[in-house]
Amino acid sequence: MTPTHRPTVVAAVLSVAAGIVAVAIVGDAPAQRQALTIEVAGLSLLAIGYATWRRRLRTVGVLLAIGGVSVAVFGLLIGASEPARITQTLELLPGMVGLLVLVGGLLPIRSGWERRLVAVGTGLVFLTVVTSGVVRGTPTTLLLVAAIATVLSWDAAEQSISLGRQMGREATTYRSELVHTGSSAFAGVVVIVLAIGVQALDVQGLSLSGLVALLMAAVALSVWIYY
Amino acid sequence: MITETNRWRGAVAFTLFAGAIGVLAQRPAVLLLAIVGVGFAAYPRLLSPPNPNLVVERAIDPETPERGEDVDVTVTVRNESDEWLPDLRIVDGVPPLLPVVDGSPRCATALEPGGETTVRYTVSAERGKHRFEPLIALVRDASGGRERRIETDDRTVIDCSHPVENTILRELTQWRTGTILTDDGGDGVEFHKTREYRPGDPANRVDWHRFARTRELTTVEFRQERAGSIVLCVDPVSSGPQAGTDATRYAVACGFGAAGRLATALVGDDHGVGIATLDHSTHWCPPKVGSTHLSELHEMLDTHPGLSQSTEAAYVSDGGTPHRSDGVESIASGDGFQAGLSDSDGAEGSVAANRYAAELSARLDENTQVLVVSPLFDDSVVRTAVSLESAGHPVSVVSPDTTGRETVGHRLATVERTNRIRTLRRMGIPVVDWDVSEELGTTIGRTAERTGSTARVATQVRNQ
Repeated sequence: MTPTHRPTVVAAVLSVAAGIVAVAIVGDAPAQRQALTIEVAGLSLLAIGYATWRRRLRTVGVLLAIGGVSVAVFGLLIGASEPARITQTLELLPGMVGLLVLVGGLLPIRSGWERRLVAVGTGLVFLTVVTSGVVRGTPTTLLLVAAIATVLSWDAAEQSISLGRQMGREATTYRSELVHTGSSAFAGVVVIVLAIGVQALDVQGLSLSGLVALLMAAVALSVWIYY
Repeated sequence: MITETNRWRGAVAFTLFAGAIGVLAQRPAVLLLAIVGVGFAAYPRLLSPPNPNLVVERAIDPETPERGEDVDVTVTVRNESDEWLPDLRIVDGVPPLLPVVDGSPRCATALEPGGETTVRYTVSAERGKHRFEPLIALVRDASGGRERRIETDDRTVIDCSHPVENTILRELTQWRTGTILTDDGGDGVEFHKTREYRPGDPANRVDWHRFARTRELTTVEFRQERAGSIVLCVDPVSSGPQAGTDATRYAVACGFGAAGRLATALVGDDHGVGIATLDHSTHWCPPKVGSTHLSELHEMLDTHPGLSQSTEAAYVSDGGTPHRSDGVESIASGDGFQAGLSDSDGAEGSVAANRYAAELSARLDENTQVLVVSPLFDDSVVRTAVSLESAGHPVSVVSPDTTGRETVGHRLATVERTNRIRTLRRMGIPVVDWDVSEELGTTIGRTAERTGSTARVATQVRNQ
């Protein structure tokens, strides 16, 4: 029995769920929610189709997967045409495409491309979050929660790929997946509290040069940590 | 060994992106998102690296399976340290030749202090002695930022080799009562000759029938049975073009298994048995008798590095494709035996073989026999055997045959091996050509029969 080094299931599901939460938080207009719901239904159908295909029910699996992708693309079209304002479309579309790419990376649609697809997918979700902050001025706390959800989505996907590579999908791995994602979520909560604390210091009152100085400090800190 | 996984490096890009957009668009809320990136970049640095203390127990059932039988392996890993292990990844070192038929030898879990986890899987037994490779545990901290790799050295052995009842030995000679027939008369069970009575001969050895007939006193002599001193010389095929291929590993597994069984049979017959290995190293155990010594011999075979020539690769990387295979696809289809190759390294190999033979010969008593167990994959084994024989030590060879017939390379290897067997037999060295799908005892019995010797508990094989 050769091991199958595909991403593990539990963390993959958590990852997609976190990605959906991130997009749903910033896309809160009814038309956006509707488009997102349709896409999520399509993605679920795609995942079920893939699982069926792996269980040797090839024809049924392929049909379900094609149906799933069609529904998801239909959701994308709605997301592109339905919202009343162009800003809402701009805000939503990258995230919706990102979710599709993320699911593709975690199935995976192509072995060896998991990390690339996940990076692109979660990157697009983050683009949605940032765009929302720029074009719509979404409240800071919501923006923070969406950003944390994006990070968690990427982190769970990374854990899923890493465990899949090392242990294979047959191995029992759920405890490791849950504990890891749980502690990352806890770290996320701490980060939100910190960020709100910083916000309470009323940095918004600072001049732009002050903000840039702060930014440089943050960049220097991150770079020092890793290089 | 602690390694940085650098998995949170992406957080730096996150920080830069959010910061840049925030500044360009002059949106403080977006700029604030940079904090999220900094927070997650710092997160793994705030955790202490994992420092686990793991206890591993491996149980196999049955320990000496039949060929093709399923063997259940149960590995229990316990966290003896007083800290949580949030991400513990376990990869058991399945013997390279045994395919996993059920379950997975891998598992990832989180363990509380004192907690334990169990990995269960099933392998299918193949002929020979198979040693587990070290279990690898990868322990990551909660963030996954640091990883510690631990190998535990519990070398369980699955022995799937048949007990042998016949052993192959040459005429022999050390003065100790045992089971090898000699051409000398004396005590024993098999009639040897009669001779004139000499005063002092015991009364029960006098041929009273003849005395009644002819009034002449004669004494009956029986063939003496003596115990020998034998050194099993096992070939781990650790060098040469065949080293490390699946066919070689299989041959070595069979060879070590056979050596163990032969040692048991020989010690059972009160012979002194020692073990040397043909890899030019210092693995050496002088011939002795007794069951304590036998367990030493088994211990030595079980722990010999040649038994699992692990493919270096037991590493499990999560960045690339893992190398460790959980068992081989097919033993016979191995990639070994590239054509034309085993005409080992000419003069150099010859010198090494002679030197090794001289070293071994110096260690052996005058009357010690050598029983070489080797798949005969290269010529140096033949040279060693011939050198030992000419140094006065009777040599016999047991050669497990695992060469396939599928490719030109396989057939060439088979021809070369057959030639080596022929060379040895021409030099007067008996060779048991053992097709490993048969029982070794049967093959030895047949070889003995063909050469006209009686197959007894200890079979004497004369020069062919």
